Amino acid sequence: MNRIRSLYSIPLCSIALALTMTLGATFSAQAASASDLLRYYDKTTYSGALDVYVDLYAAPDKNGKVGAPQRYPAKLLFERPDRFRLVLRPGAKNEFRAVSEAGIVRWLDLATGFSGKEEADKVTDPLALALLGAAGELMRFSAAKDLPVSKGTKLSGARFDPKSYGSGVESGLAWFGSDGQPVGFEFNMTDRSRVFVAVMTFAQNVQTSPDDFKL
Amino acid sequence: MHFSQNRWFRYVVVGICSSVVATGCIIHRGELSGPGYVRLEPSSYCPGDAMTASYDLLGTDVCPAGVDCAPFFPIVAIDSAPIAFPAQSITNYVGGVNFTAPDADQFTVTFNPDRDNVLIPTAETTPDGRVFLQRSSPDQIRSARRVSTVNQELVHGGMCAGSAPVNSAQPLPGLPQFSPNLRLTDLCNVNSVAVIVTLSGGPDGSSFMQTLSPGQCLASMPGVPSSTENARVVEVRPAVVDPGTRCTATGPSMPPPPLRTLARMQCR
Repeated sequence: MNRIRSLYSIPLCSIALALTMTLGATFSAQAASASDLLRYYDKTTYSGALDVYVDLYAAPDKNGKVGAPQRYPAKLLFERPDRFRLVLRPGAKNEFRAVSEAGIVRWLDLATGFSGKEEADKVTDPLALALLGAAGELMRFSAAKDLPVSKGTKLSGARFDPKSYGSGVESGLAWFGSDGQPVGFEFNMTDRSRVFVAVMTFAQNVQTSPDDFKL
Repeated sequence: MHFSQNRWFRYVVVGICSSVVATGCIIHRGELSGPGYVRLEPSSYCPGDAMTASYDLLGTDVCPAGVDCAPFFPIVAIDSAPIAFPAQSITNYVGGVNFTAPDADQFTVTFNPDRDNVLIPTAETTPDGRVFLQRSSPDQIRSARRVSTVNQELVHGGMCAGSAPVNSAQPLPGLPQFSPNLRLTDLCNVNSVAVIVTLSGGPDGSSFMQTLSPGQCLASMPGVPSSTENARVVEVRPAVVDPGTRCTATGPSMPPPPLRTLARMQCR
């Protein structure tokens, strides 16, 4: 009898992919296009730490006007395939923490004192889980194309169209500085809302410990 | 408090987690409120546009080599109202219809699979047999509407590229939501500060730069080349850096505020 299951148990395969990826590949960031850079980070990132600002925009109104965003300063530590620690408004009274490991997200809201846990795939977009899942397969999941910006600009950009089944992300843009560092990302959601991420710092392949992913 | 309904959390996580790492084995549960498995593009069309109504129940998965997936294919009926194309019935995990945009002001397309769930064989087998993916395939309806003009505000997010404050360039409205046959008729500065805009991305490879005062629009200015109507990308920067901006390569940073432009576009 065939056993039917959801895809959720499959991330085991991503462990193997993560272990076999090439860390520290030889690469000339200055000479690379934005889509090349996207591929590079995909192939060479096993873990990372980011300080970011996240802006959430509601869908435009009927006249195409976009309202003011909600802004969240945030810190993220992640380790492929499935572990992350996300802190929104770090240091503030209403700090929000969420940690994910082995498919379970645990969270704590300091503003209310509420805490809880939930299966990761119920609270996290499939794309995010997929992105954490494994390295080196970006192009299988998402077509990327360089954005034709003018000469002399300090940014290069790549547009990508995720193909993850069930994702709420319709398209995205990745921005890189002239030194090849990622500086920003944006995601256009299928409900026309939008997420903009300004990357303040990014450390690639950082050392983590199991305690990092506890509340 | 029901955490799973916190859309903002999902979006923040997708935003951050998607930022640097890429992709891998995917996860899907039927309860996820994603876009479904169908597309109707463009959803805002110009007369005569080439359009596509398609569905994809595979996503990034494939039918494994050496496995006959045909017995598991769903039969998907695709229909339109008012009629934009002859009704279709496709037997596959993936399929679609290409057609020319109708004269109607709007129309809907219905995707009606013959089952509520589809099974997709994987390459994995166990002593019990082959492992399958199961995906829900409820009926889906998408609508599209005809447009003649589009007014779209573009938000150029602020970032720090090392010590340089920058604002993101933005693609002008196009596929998959908007018709690819829109031309730019005007671009306005809707900020309270003067900005320098650059239009680029047209087929001739040219770019055009112009300073715009608050409220000022390109169409009201002399010397704007006609090639700007084919531009695909809008870059923008403030004439004077916002005083609250702090971009440093090493220390704490505060990105510049977002800038906004208003693009007016018209069907060719």
